[in-house]
Amino acid sequence: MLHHDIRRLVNVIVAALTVVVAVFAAVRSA
Amino acid sequence: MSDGTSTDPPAKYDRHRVVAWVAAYGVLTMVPMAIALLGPLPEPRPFFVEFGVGLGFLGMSILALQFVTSGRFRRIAPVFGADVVLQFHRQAGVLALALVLAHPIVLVLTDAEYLEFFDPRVNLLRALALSAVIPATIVLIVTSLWRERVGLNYEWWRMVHGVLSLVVVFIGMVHGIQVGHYLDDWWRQGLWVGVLSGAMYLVIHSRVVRPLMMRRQPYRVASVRAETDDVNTLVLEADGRDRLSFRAGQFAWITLGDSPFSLQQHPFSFSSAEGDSTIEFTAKELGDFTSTWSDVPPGTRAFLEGPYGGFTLDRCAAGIVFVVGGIGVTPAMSMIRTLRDAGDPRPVILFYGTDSCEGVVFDDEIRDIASGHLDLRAVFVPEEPPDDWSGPSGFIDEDLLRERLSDDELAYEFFICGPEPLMDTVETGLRDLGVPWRRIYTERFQIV
Repeated sequence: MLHHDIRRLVNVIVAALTVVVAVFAAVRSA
Repeated sequence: MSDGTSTDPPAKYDRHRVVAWVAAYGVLTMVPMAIALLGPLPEPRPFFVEFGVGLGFLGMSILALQFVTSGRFRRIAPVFGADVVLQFHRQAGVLALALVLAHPIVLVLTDAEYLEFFDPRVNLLRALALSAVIPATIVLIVTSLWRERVGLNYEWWRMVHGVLSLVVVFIGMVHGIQVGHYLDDWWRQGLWVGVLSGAMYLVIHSRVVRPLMMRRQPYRVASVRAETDDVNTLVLEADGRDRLSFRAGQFAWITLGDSPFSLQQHPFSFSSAEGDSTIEFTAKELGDFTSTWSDVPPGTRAFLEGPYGGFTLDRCAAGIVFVVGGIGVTPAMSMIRTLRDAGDPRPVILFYGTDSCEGVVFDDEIRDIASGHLDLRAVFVPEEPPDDWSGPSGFIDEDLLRERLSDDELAYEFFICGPEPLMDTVETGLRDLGVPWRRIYTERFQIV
């Protein structure tokens, strides 16, 4: 696995987790 | 091929296992938020307050998961390769820092009353702990990404990294309970403390329990062999029992001296063959630890933790290409010796980048093996060749690989080990030549 593949994997994880936190906040603030 | 009864580790980069581990990581990052959402919920707050709190929960889970991806958890390495796991660990560390910073910033920007958490007049201990956790996390990351630039030696970095990571997670754990809100119930607090304590235990296990176990399995230095002026091979034998078994290309953490608790524990690739009765490690005199190898007297005690890593041969590969630079030849040498001993008929190609033609490590042995013991083609690439040199010279790059490898050979498995510039160039070059990432294995010996 190449280094830019790992970076891409981390970026995907960051994006997905940001959405999860936003959903958490939306659910809890509703 | 596996016969179903093999004890070999799982295939590297197996798509299902990769997906399973990445999914497990994603699920585990959500555990703190899931704990918060279990059972009766407190009153809702504005979106950005909850968003800031969510970032804090996420930061804590990623910090805790750093203990799993620290390179000492053996089950992951065969799936991704230890190198990939550690690279992920580095990048996830930066992400954790971003979250640790974003958590208070978002909260304070949303409601300035959250500054109270840093006010020593309200709660001195809390203010001190929370004020300390941000610089502590910054120190963790900075000393890991730029250890040499900040002038920290490896032993001290290891000590600082272990202690600070525990301190940061511990403060975060106490902070969560002090704040309450989502963690007011005893059972939620129990889950929170249980999960985070479990993660912290992994450090204790690695730094205390494993050395205790290693103490019962000591090794002795049988001899030290000078390979070149500044490269030595440490030959170890197990003290009255079978030695650990490893796969060629893997590495172990070595401690020299009477105690396995020494801070001087360093990772090195095995350079001996899988079937040898002794275990050998070959290192260049680059730092405080390796500089002492030539003076280590036979009989000195040694302790090994391992084996680790997934930089290992695949029995299904049609052929093998090693691209190594300098002392990065050691894991390749272990694999070449193992292939020779097994009488493996597959073609092997070794691209070996060196500073010059003088003092090339294993030079004679590689030429001897290539002369008939293995279908080995060795391509030496000196950076500064002598006047009468007729082979390739300079740096190993995409052009050289394209020139020297046929289309069939580009379908082999590639193992790259050496200095960062070589690895970056070759990784990208192979990708541009159409070699899929699943057939490229890397091992960066400068892990921090």
